[in-house]
Amino acid sequence: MSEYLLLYILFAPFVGVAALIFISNRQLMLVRGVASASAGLCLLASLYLFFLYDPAKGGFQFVQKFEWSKQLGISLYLGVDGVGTPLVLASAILLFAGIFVSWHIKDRTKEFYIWLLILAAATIGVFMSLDLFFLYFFYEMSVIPMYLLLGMWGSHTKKYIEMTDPEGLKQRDSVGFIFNFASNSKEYAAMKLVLFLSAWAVVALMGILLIYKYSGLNTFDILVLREQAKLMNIPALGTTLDKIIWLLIFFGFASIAPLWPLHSWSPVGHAAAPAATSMLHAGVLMKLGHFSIIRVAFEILPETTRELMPIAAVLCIFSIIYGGFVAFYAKDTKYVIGYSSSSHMGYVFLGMAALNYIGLSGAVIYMFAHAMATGMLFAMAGWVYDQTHTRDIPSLGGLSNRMPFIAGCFVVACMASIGMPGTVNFIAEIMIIVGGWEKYPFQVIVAVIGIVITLAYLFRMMRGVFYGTMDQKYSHSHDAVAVADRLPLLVMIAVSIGFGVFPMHLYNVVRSGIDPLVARITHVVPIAAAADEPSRQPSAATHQITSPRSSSHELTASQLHAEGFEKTP
Amino acid sequence: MLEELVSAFPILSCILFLPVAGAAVLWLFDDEDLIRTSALTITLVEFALSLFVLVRFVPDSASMQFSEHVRWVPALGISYHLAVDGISVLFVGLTAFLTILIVIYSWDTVRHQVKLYMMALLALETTTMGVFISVDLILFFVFWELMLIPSYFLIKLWGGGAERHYAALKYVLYTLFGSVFMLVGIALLDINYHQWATLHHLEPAYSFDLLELLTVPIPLQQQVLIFWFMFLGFAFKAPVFPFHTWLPDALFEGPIGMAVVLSGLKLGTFGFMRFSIPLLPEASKSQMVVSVVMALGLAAILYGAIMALIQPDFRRLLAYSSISHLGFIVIGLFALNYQGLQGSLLTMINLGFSTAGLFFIAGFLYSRHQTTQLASYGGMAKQVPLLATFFLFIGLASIGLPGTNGFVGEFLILLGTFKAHWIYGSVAVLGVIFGAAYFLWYYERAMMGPLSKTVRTSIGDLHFREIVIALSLSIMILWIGLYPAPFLKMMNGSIQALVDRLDRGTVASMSRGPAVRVD
Amino acid sequence: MTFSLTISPADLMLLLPEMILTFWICLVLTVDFAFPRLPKEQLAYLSIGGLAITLGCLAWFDATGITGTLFANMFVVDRMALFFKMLIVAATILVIIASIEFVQRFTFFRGEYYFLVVMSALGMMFMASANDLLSVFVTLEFSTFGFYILVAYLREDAASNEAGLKFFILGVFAAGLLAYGISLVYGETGKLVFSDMVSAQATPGLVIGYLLIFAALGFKIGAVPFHSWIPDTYHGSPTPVTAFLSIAPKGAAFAILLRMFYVALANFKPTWVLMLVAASILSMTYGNIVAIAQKNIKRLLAYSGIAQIGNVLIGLAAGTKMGSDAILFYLLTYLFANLGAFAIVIAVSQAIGSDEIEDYSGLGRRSPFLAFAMLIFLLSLAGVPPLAGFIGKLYIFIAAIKEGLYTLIAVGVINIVISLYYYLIVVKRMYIVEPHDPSPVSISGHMKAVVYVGLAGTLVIGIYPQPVIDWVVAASLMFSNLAEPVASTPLLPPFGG
Repeated sequence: MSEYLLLYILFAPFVGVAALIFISNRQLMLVRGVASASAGLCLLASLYLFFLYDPAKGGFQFVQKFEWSKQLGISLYLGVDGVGTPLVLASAILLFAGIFVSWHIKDRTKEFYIWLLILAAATIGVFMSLDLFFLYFFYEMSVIPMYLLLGMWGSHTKKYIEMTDPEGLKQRDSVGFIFNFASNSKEYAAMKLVLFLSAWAVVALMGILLIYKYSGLNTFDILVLREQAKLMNIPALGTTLDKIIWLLIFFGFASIAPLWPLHSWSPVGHAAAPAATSMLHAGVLMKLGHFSIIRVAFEILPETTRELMPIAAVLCIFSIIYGGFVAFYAKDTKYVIGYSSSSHMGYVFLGMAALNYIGLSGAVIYMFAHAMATGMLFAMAGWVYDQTHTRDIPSLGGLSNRMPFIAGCFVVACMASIGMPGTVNFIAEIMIIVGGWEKYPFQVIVAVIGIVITLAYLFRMMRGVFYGTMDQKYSHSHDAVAVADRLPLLVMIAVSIGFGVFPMHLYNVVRSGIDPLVARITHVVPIAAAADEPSRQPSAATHQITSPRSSSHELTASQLHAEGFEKTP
Repeated sequence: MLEELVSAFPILSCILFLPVAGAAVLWLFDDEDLIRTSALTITLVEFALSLFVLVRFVPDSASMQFSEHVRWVPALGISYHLAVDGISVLFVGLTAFLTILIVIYSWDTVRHQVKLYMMALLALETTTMGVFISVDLILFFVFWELMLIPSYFLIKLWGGGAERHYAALKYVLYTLFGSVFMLVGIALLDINYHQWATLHHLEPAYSFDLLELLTVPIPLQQQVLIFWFMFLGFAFKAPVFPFHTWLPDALFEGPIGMAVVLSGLKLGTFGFMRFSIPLLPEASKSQMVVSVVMALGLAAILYGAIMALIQPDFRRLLAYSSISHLGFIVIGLFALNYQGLQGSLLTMINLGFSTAGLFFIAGFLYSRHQTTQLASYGGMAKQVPLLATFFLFIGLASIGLPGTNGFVGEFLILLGTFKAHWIYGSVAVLGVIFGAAYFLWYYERAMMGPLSKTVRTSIGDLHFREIVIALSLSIMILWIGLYPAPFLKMMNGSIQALVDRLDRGTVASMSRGPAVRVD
Repeated sequence: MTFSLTISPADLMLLLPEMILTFWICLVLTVDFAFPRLPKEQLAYLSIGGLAITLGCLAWFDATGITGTLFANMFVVDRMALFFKMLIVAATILVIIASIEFVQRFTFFRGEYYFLVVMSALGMMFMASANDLLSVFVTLEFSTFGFYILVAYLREDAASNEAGLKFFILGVFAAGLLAYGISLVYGETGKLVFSDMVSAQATPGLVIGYLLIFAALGFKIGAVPFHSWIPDTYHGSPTPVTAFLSIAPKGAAFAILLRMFYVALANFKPTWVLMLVAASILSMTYGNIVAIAQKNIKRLLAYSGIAQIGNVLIGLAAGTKMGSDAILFYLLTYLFANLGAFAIVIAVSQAIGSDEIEDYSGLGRRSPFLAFAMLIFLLSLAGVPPLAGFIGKLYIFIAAIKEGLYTLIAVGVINIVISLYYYLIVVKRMYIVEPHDPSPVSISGHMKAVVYVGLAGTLVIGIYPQPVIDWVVAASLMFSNLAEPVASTPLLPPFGG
């Protein structure tokens, strides 16, 4: 049974969709039941997957391959490694939580669940596809549902200027100001999100097509491409082709991550979206970017990655600081959380830029951790919005008396979000710091200051929403008491703290995926030397220690070989 | 047979998790008196356990005792490692002791959300204990950070002042700001260890364990860098002079119980003594570091004393006086000789009795007057003689009158500093004088003289619970003051090891290997 | 040159589908005259039956591989011709089903409507088989006559008359160009059959001739700069006719274009690639950008059609076997998506009597099924997975990138995003904007049928295209002699030309 596990995970939501199509909106409980059942099935399967994945064996496991089109060299090639597995789990958890968070949606419930399930399934599909075509296929597929979810069930945001510090931010937030034309409608947010993501997705598509052509293998199979594609040292446009491809892939996918300055679609989208959508969006949809960069750019172009990844290290500074400050000045709960997640994605880029296995696995664990933390925050922001019908922090306050459970969970979520010890975020942070310091001490300092900023705006928001004096018009608002309302929060908290206290399996799984990657990246001769004589084969002079600083890398990598971490699926 | 049983018993874990488990139990109760009683029981049991540790602790030894070691995240070298040595063991007792007194004090002074208050207090005790007894740096950092949560809510929800929200956030932000840099420092130690381990093929490849980190040499510039990172963390928490601004707010706005913990348990300076100096001896010895830290310490002494002199409010006065005392501790530490270190450690303990005691006194006054403003006092000695007496006694202890514990500590510190450099000593002495001045002046204005109009005539003297608190504190003060030998014996071994470490430095110590580890 | 006019029954066999249809056209006409009382939808069913039989016959040919040439290569029956014929016949069937209610609105000539539709279908079937310039001219005109009438069918409607006139004048102009071009080419080479001209030398006359022929066919497919008749004609003519016009003639014209460029001009590829690239870029960009401004759904689909043709031209510019595969595949997906979209336009205009995008507001509430289907069709046209349009576009891009047409593909992918914008505007109208009057929109069974066919095609091809890919690959086997780039060899620098 277990060899078809990925198919179960991927198609459980689709089966749910197919069933929902034939159910009428009048049978509300049936609709919810079907949706939650399919999501629960998906969650169970992915939990099973996560604990069945064998880190000692490593590599791509549960591989499924179906010929899809031999003329185009496409096959439905599914498989998860240490990077994909936790993210699949995260998506399943957030989908399950999202179903319950949106339990009270009355308008066109069936359609809502249909699109939500499609969104999650597409995300999961990206995380498990080993075929460039299907990676892009699912990636694009996950964008359109966002449009309808935002447009049909979203909420209008206040004017951008109003919800941000009037005098200060207009100067500070120049980029955001240029991109958000003081717009206030969910239609604008949805349209912007879809167009922005599609526009950058086709940039990535261009890169994928170039890989397809210049590998000359007539296949989209990532594993084949990473072994056999010879893309180095082809001169083009005054530089070499691999650089161009890498940049296309990197920025194409970094837009969804979102890396500054490509982030401006994301907070607008978060703010407009219904809670469950924001959860999936910030929780896993953003990670599509990092994941695809790792899967495509890192796997297929390791040398170029090592050469160009500093770009990310530079940009992530802006992500962290800029996102943090905008979040601090935002007066809209969802804006705060949205900008905080786009700021936290900078940490992931920092960990990725470190390009050593501790930092890279830190980045992956951070993705998982951030999914839980931001999922909780958005779920609770959504609850508060449903109760009070406003997201304007100054007009809120004192809700802790009305909803103690939510307030309590909010504290936990804040703690998780700042990486308080005991939550899995802390493990990820310490790994990113340890990994990042060797190459990027300055970025590490920025990152830790970012932690303090995070605490500042989250506590500021907590004070504004849950403490202080309550406006009487909110006295009708009530706490989450029903099981269906508490379940999602409890699940996410349990996961976040559980993995924070017992991170070993998660860590091993991630490491088993990261090690071969890092080995590939650190075990090739620096491209700077290679660029001089184009005739040189990259295979020559491996295991060459490039600099005393990177010596420890070389050593660890060779140790890993000794430990048999080398992956050949 | 009993011996093995006892030695195998994970007593430190019990001490660590008893309060939080108790808090979980409290959650089930609803009756407030029941909650108070059970909280008291829990703290008493805790104190009994810590007494057991103190009694069975082998004095004059540098070894880590009652050690418990479980690999937590082996791949990252994070381990669950608890142990006490001469530096930390006294704090265990002190923490348990003060928590009892806080519970007793809060018996009737805390009226709303009693359950939550007690739970927060017990959680705070657990985290504090954790900070004192964890040997693994990550574990230490875990408790160091977790402490913020109960503290935040204690100040925010039960604080007396109007600005308590602001004060709470300020406290948390400042401390976190320091500690994230400390986290970077810890990471650097780990990286350094990792490089050493990979070069020498040591196992484990990563480690945050103090004892393992001690075996690894660290280049000097690296040491200095790490030192400043960790310095930020500890200095914000302590707080050392320029990083102190959160303290008066937190102490003034927060509840008395929180103030007692913040001012009585010197976590920051403990951190210096526990981690910075042993791990980074060359850096601590280096001219630049010593001079800067010394300058800060002396500045703190004078600044705190002078600010205390002009405070109209008693709790603010105490806040500044404890800043001044921290200055003493810091210069004692960075005299980097036996007397200095010993004196600082002892002073940390002493302040746990005297400053905390004064805060209790402030609490007594507050519960009678709903204010600690000087303006509303005057000549109260006639009305509340007992309170005035204890006030005077504890106060004298805090200014270091011979015969009280304060004297022993300050004397040792001054001795050490004079040995280090006469200038430091002579400046520090000024602080002593100021200390006497601000306390006595305040006391004179508040208690002596004719009864002022503003004092309500209806206020009564100390009642039973308060007498218990004051009395127990006074007993400890006298004990340490008159017969400090047992306390000094307990710390001697570790202090000696620390001094040796300072003399040898990291490079030699690695040849010695983890000799200090006698589990 | 002399034609050997000895036609054996075996040769006539090749003409069987056309003969069946011819017979059926006469039948339809006779029945229409003979039984004036007969309700006209019976005629529709009648002609559908005939087309169905023809389709079956074509399928049988395709399955048994009956191929050959007639009349000294004037008329060729090969897999590609069969593919296009099936495409045309299928499109005709769907259009007729979609027209049944629409025709009720005509005051007169209801019967002749079906006759004309099937008539021009027959003409286009011949186009698909046309293998020399003469038959190109004849069949092209033959197929167009029907349309001249159909476009202007709403006699009271000024817009319809204008459309008819525009279409007629420009069509005749195109015919003139075509005739002139043909005469030039014949004068230069003395040959008419495509396959005989492979060895021709590139003289100025020949080049001009071919340019003229391309221009004439460009009018048919509505590629920029020969697109000017498209918007008004699409807008004015009866919607079923618009649907018909947007699929079938383009398919037939591409049959001719493929034969012309891939067979007759195979040697001149370097010269015509640039021309096709230019035409394609212009068509995509112009069509998409102008479509953004449209307020009328038919005009929007007209401009989007121009852009789609630009996409197909990418495949043509590739000039390889794979390119022709991609074109065939793309046209098939375009058939389903576009016909489906037009079917919904017909249904909506029958229900609410308007083609303005404004009036699609809240369609998602008024008729969830229609809105959902429209969403699928528009997204397929935009090229969003997992729909057929996505595979089609990707197929074309892959074919083109193997030829190194980077600029073209860059423009193409950017145009995907632009097109997504105006398709999403319609989606926004349907789903996000609340309806003016929430009365539900009813839809007749015939329309449902067409929409279901479109949905099935779009989704099935999108999710599992392999059978279709096999089919088109087999259908364009005749081009397998065209040079495929040997990929694994060291490659010329990219972005060079």
